[in-house]
Amino acid sequence: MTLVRRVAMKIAGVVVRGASPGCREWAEGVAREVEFIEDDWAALRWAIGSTRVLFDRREAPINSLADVADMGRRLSERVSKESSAYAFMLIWAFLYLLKLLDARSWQQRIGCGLVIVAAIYMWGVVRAQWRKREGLRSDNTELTLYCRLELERQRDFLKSSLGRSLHFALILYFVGIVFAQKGGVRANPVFTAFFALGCVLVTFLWLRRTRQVQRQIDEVDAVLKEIR
Amino acid sequence: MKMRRSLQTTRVLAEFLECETAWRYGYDISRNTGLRSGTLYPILMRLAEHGLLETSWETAEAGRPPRHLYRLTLDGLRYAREQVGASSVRAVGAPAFGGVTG
Repeated sequence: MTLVRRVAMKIAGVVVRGASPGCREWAEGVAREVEFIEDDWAALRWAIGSTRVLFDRREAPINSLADVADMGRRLSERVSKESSAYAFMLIWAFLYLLKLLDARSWQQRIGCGLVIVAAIYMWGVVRAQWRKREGLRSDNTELTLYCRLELERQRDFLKSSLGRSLHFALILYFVGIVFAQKGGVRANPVFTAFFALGCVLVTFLWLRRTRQVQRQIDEVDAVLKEIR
Repeated sequence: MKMRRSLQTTRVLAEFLECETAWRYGYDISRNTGLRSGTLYPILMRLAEHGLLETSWETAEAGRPPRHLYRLTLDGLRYAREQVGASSVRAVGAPAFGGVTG
């Protein structure tokens, strides 16, 4: 086996191992082809192209009742991860409160203010959502039912004006960080570009999550319909 | 049916229509359409998500790993005929060189 072929096979292996659960079968499909491509360089090009699968992060498809229950369990566990992320942003915002006292320009003041207000607002919205979520869990609902209800709650929230305002607050939080640095937007173009990219990414993930939740609801419904 | 229309998707659909009921390999589709793996697989995944494409694993032969196979479903065939037909109508109807008129 030539070196080029070996590299192609290695890349294909990495793609299969790194693919998200929802893309694993596809990753295996694309990786398997490498062994059947006669030209080594073509095989390498194919393997390099297949790395795109790594950027497509999706959950495993829901095909059975066990999958639904499993998803319900994961959804209930996700609370702690989300809470840590928002708690971190709130703590971070306190640093900007200290910075606000020392701010020398209006740009910095606005930036710090944005970070603080956005973090407090997000914390409030997210806390209210947790309470709703805990309400779903507390009345001994089965994991399958919980999964369906929680996905529905998420979809409704993401599409609601409150959900959109949370998204907007998250962007304001990033904008505030850029403004709050000494010299504002002009201070460090790399820093500014990094956070601008963050805003684009947040928007992209937000839109993607809305579509993903609807797809998961459809999959759960299909499984539940089959059982009935 | 909500499915993003693109030239690449139409090329893939046209390729499937070449041999409507046959199972196809990913690399063969890529070679015949000129699409790279990074472009082809997202299209195939999208088609499968919409129930237009079915997948299967080849039965393994001795010493060779099984390959992933793809085929259009009945809905997929219907959709492909519509899309490929519409795109060829558009291509025929479109004037050459942007249709510069006197």
